[in-house]
Amino acid sequence: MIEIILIKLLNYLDTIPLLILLLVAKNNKALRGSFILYYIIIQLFFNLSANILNELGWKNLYLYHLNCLFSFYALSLFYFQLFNTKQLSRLIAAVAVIFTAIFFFNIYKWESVMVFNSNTFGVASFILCAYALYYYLQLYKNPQPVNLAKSSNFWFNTGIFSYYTISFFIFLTYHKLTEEKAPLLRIVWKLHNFIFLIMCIYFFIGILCKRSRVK
Amino acid sequence: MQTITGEIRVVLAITLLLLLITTFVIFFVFFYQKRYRQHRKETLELEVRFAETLRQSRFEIQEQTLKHISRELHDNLGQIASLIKINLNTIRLSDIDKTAEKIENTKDLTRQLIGDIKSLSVSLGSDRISKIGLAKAIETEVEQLNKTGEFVASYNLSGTMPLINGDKEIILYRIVQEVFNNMVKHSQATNIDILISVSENLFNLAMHDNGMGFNVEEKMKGTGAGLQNLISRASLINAQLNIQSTPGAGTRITIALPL
Repeated sequence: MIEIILIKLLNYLDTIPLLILLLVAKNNKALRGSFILYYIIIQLFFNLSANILNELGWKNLYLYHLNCLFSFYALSLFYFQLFNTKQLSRLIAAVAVIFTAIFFFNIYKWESVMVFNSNTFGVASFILCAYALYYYLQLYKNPQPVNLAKSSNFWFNTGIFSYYTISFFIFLTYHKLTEEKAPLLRIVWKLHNFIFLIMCIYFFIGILCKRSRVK
Repeated sequence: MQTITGEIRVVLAITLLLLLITTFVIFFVFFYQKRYRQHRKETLELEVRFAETLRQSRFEIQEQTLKHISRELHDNLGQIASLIKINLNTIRLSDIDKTAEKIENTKDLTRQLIGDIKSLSVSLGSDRISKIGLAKAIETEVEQLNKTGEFVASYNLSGTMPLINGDKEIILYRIVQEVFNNMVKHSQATNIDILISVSENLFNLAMHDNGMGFNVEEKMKGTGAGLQNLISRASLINAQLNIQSTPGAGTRITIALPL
């Protein structure tokens, strides 16, 4: 019985922490209008829907396509706001347009909405890792006098960096693995959920921080 | 019983590897920033201490100058002015020869008075050290020691005086003043020597007296706050202050400032 509950809990690791985050974020006025909050809402909506459809035995992979696209938009807007320089803002906007084109081309040409979208998840992860690393690079080149442990943006970036970097290979191979019906494939997705939990923990720390002045 | 296939193993292994890499990156950024903040905090503290020491040194130099002026007014200028007054009061116009002699004498005294007032006014300027330079300021201190008649003080400069930052000069000068004060008050010395030697990358200032000396270690442990203060001030300008003293054999204090 406990084993079943634990397995169920692992399946919902991409949903329950998000609910907790939303509840905590509700009390933090500084987060109002933050794109991280939109990202959490998007993730919660799509992950919960996907889990419910899965419980019902219905197909849900098209939700992962949409999740990938909207999450990418939300995080692009987060970095758009974070970097706040004309050149980088233009670059982020251009990358978002190119990504949208890749997204639709991928559905049309390689991965339909009925299969897992490894390509677009892979591209999105790669771009978001680059943004996160650029943020770290800026911190390295221009160290900030403020305490990073109290900077919400640092923790949000750390969450994004951890999740998208560690899950990168899972995203990239998941379509192939599902096609081959590899045994114990569920372990991979459970590991993904665990990595998602790590991101949520970083987000949780970030939400607890006061509004940061670190750019 | 299902087994984990090679492909899944690779995925898991690479994912764990990525986990390690990301953890390393996050820790690196975090601790690099922490170290930077610590360094910045220390630098700021040092700057504050430097500014405070500079302010304190300026204040103490002013105090010392005022004391010197007060002494000069009382012991020297006041005396000369009194003599002038006596001369003028005792002039008898009936005795032409004596009157002429007294007027000549009064003229000399007035000239001396003007000269002394001029030299005193030089020591009044707050930026005196930056104007006349550290070497000249120290030389003047030595002259004043000699003037007291209680000491035979000598000053020697070997090499060319380097350009030292104005704030550092003030702190250095104040250290020298404080050492002289200690020698005058506590050493019971009769000879005080000061030697400045300048090499390519080192400014060295050595002060030596033939006084009663003291046990440095004991003094530092006990009531040696003044000595600690000298060392701390020297370290603020990146100089090293060294005290050598033996009871009965005088004291030697050196300040080495890298250029």
